[in-house]
Amino acid sequence: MKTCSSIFVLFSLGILPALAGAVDTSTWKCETCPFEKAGTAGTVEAGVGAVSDDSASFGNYRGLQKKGAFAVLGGSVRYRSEDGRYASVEAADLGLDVRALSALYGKEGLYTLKLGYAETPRSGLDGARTPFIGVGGASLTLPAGYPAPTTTAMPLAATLQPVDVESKRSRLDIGATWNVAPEWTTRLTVRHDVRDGLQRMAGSFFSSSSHLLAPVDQVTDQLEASASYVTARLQATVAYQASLFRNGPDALTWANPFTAVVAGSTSGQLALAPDNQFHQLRASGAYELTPQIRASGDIAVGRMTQDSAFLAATLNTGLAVGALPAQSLNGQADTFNASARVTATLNPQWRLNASYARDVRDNQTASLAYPAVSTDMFVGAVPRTNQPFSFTQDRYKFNAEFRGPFGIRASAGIDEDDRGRTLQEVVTTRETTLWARAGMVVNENVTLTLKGAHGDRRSSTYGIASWVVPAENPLLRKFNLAERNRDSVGLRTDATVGDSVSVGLYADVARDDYDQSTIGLLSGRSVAVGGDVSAAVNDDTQLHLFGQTERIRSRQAGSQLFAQADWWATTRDQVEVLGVGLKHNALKGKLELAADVVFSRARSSVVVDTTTLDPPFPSARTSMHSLRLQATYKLQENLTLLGSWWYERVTSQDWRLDGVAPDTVANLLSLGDTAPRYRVNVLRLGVRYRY
Amino acid sequence: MKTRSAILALLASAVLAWSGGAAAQAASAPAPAASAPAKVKKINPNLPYSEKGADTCLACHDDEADSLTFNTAGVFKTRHAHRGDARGPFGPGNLQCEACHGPAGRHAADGKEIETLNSLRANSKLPIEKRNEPCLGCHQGNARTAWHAGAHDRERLACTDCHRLHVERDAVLTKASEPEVCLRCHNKQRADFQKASSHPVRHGRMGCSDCHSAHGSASASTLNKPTVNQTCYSCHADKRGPLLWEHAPVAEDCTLCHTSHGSVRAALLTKSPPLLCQQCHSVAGHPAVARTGAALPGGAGGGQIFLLAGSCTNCHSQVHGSNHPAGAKLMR
Repeated sequence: MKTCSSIFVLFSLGILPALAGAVDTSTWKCETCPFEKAGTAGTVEAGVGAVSDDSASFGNYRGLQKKGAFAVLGGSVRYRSEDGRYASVEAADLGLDVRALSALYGKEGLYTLKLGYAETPRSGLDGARTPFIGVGGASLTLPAGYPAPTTTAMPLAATLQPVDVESKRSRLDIGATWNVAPEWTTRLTVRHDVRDGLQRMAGSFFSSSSHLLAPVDQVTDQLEASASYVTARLQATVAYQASLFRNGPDALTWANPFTAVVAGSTSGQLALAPDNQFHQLRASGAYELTPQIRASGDIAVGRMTQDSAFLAATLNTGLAVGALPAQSLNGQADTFNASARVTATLNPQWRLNASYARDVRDNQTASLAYPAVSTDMFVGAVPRTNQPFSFTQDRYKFNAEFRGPFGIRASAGIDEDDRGRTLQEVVTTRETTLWARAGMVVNENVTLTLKGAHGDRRSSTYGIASWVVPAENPLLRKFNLAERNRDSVGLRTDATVGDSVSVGLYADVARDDYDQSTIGLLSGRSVAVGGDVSAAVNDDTQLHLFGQTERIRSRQAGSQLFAQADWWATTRDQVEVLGVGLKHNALKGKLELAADVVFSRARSSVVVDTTTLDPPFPSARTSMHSLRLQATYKLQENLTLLGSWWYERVTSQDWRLDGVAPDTVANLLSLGDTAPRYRVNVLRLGVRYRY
Repeated sequence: MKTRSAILALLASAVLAWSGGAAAQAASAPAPAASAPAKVKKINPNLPYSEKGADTCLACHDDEADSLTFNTAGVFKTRHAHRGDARGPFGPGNLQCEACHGPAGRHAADGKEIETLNSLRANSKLPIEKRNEPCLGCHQGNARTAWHAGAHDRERLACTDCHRLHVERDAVLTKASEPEVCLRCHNKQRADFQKASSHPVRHGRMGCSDCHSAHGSASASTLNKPTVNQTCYSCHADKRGPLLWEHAPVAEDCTLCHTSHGSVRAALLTKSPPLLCQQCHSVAGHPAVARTGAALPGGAGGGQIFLLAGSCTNCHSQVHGSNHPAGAKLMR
């Protein structure tokens, strides 16, 4: 609950007691009110669960990747006192890697202390295998038999080891809120976020490459301290925010499993994410100028810094490499974010809104020349100079809203988005969007909303980025810089049938046309049609259905000869999602049943037209069937039996992974992971005891 | 230019109105918008309150009147019904049920629905402003600073369209159940979260409010942070940099390559490489070669390393930027 400082004001002014006094509540005893008694209450939940099969994909974010039994353990404790103090501790999924704990202590209106801890596991590569030794560390070596000229010549059968490519995020949150005075509130939040495990990377030597497993040993500490001042007409906050990111190892070194083509290129080194910091001062406020005019604004000034020591340009001692221009980047990018918004209600029918926002990333990092070493094999004659990227974005919005009789609502506006970038092919872009929405109450139970928008992005002359060596095709237009027409239309209707059924249907169509591009992204289109139904079948049964079908298509062109477009590709995605949820109370509330069924299906096809008869790609397909049944049965007033069954089946075909074993590609030593395919059952049985 | 001028003019006039008119308003301003008593009076200034307060209400609104989705007595499990909280509706001498629902004397006398009683329900006859008045009388903190300029205000949402008051746990305030509330309206996002690659919302590990501020914010899509990237860095701080070799679109906007709610492709990508990368890259000596089915396993074509498994990232694995002195091509 967001407690109310303003009501303190009312009390201090004597307004609320005066009102209550006017009503004379002295005889309002609230004798039949079932207040919670002061004291401690809580629940304990315990039981056992079982997972039927191993699956990294199913276990992703769920902590259920391994076949076998697990403990169902959780519970809560709540405390309340007569004087407004409260406390609670909650625990969930303690037997799994998704365990979560939270605690709260405070006194109504005065202070709140919060503590939270949660784990989130990440897994998703089924069937990954690697011959590298030392996985999890900062140096990967190879067993005997390596290097070899190709993957087929490598002793993979004897050296490949299965590996669980997993990581886990463990997050500790601490928060405190103190209502210093009726108008003043201070807050402090601290987050300690730890990620550890493995992540996939890749390292190459010119034309050969290996999939590698890099250690994840990252800690991010975030802090936010704020003070807020609130009155009936003014709200203001100043805050300081900090983010400190630290990474354990700064590099991953690996032995080249391929026979060195250039002398000395027997090992390589990848830079892992360097430590960085971000500090930001932020102020925001809102003021009610008059009851009809309200204004608000924000301003934030921040600085990102990064100064980790550089790695060596190469591990190949046989290469003649010049000295680095610095020992570290001493990188600094300043950020500035500001916005102002005004809303003016002219009369009950008309309202005007205007806003302006500016976002700046000003990269102050020095631009220096670095030796042009390529994959520990070659040294270019011309050094490479880093290109610190900066941008400025200005957004202007103005719109008007109208509310008329018969539930008619209409609004229309114009938005402008101006961007300036450094060291890009385009200096500035300006996108102007006109939009309108209209809604009406067709009758008492049916509403209809139609919206549409047209955007037009124009750019300053698209040039050649001479600092990109070798240069990009001069006909290429990067889609975030290119001139574009964007149109969208949406229709939504909501209806209620009696008091128990509500239906929502919608259709959205969007289209992008890069009308000046001949190479790069040419166009995109999406169509989504869906709906949802909620129904109270009777006093004991609720039903919910949702579904959507979506089509996304994009078209692009490329040039194999660094000239005019000579191939075109069309990507089509087709996605269907259908879900049904049911809740039912039986046996006079003693038995609660819930069922959730979700079916989703996706098909993605790619057609590449080179004007010759090339073999086509098969469609990539994924389908998911998920069924969850849950039941709770109240054995007695304070003891409930819990049971659930969860079945999920995923099938998929992905030509990017199917049939790609570690030795399938002669110059790519891959992990050989497969597209997700699993059929998993999860059973849980337990009891909940309330005290 | 006209757009900008008009908007800036309006902003400027608002500031002038503030600076020039504040003093006058101070003398003649109507009751503060956040005043709870004033709001209750506005709801129905003339009708009488009940005779015994909550005891009057509970005489009829008992277990028999409850349904699967509504339990009157549930409010007593919430912080709104804390007798020790002098600010709360059930604090000493306060208006109990009628603090939020308005004077119920007439309703108690004849048992009829009256249009002036604030049921706080979606089918209430009261306009949204009236429905929200008892809530905003207390809850007028900084979270709502930008409400007046947000999409939810434009859609005329009432507080109780998202929040439930007669339940021990308001679903929208709990991470695992919050999305169910948001997705009732944001249906497309509900479907997106069911796609093969998504943030762990359907897994109960993330809530919508981890990224979005439902009460409005200064940024696009009412994000918690000023920009998309600052929002993403909240969890993905390793991508923040600044790095020696930057990939400009990464520093500008994560959503140029990733879709935030769900994708049929791994890593929430909008398109699979190599086509994703070939939308923007085709350099001399390494042009955007058309990769076709000929490069599939068993096919007659070459260049499999450019197409299969990680495709472009088989070599350019540092697509988010590199701090390696030799990482100009994002290969170290």
